[in-house]
Amino acid sequence: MCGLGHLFEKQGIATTVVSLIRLHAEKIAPPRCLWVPFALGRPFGPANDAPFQQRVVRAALELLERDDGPVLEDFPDDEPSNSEGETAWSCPVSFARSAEVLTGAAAVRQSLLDEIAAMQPWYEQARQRDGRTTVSCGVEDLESIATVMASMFEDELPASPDADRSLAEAMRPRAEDLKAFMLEAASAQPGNPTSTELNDWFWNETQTGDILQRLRHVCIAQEAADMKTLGFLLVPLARHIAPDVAA
Amino acid sequence: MARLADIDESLRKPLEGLDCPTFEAPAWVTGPKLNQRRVAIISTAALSTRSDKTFAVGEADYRVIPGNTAGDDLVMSHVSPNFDRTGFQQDLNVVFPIDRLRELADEGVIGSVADYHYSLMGSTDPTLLAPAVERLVPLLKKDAVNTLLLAPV
Repeated sequence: MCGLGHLFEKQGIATTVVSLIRLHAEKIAPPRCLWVPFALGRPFGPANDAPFQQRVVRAALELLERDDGPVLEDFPDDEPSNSEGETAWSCPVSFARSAEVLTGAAAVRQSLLDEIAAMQPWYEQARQRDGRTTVSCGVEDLESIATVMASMFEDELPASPDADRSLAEAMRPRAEDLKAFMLEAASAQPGNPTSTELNDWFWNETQTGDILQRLRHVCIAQEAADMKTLGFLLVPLARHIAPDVAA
Repeated sequence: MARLADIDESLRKPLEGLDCPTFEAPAWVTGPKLNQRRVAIISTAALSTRSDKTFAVGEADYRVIPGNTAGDDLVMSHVSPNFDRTGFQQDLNVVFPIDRLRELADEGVIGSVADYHYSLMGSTDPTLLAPAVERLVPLLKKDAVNTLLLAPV
């Protein structure tokens, strides 16, 4: 992002950059930069806190009134504490994640469908609350996604479900749709869960999270470079678990 | 909580070791007072409208986001799994602060908000984004944009 500041200024348009990684802002030194001490993915602060977000936007824009640079300013405040609260949220829908590894595509598919069905009412609540959803980046319905996802656990990998892209390219948006569905749904449940709580729940307690962990291992075991890349992109680095633990 | 020290080591190490480009003879563009500026957002969150193509691994092109895009029509297809998406899922302004910009325009803090905004995908070497930037500049100038708010994810 900081590099774009240089590129656009060279083309004659003034810029102000928001940066989440101060070290990179220091090294690249864009003309004007506001560093914000927020979580990666939330450059303008917590959701649904318009006054706080406006302070961030305003602080970035006010750097345009400086006479010379480069300017690297620190936003003075952390995100409000309720965005990463200390209360213990727990999802009221229990999936009783099995200690045994699901074997076979049919079991994986059924497990995904069960979770989708359990979370569907909460997803509808979230969609109504927010007036929007980020699910379905133009792919297909969740039931079909569960079927395609399960087919990855057959003895042989399936053909790509999309005529115009490889299996790896077709699977990534489907996996993202499943994640988004589950996280949006859980966010509507009582207790105002934080981002950390939502992600802990998804990766530690749901079959869908477990299946994505195991799909990661399926992908990185393939010879094709794009499948290995897919495996790298399915699960956050901080959530990687070893093959013999993923279950 | 995005101070490097707070980020899990598995991600912190690559971030610390990232090879950052340097820019010789950096430009410094001046402009009118803030209340006369027309502002567009350039987001590197790989945003697009639902009808547009989503971003693919390694892509260095841009997507157009009309200013009147409905929230439900804006999706994210960034390839990195290593950042929080729950904020954007609940409120697009967490990543794409279009409503905040409009408020600042209404209050007279900035002059106006551009008709069109744009998104690219971060996690891409910025020098590879240079061709996209060159194609974007004429579009921004046609929209009378003189200021960019560059938003990461």
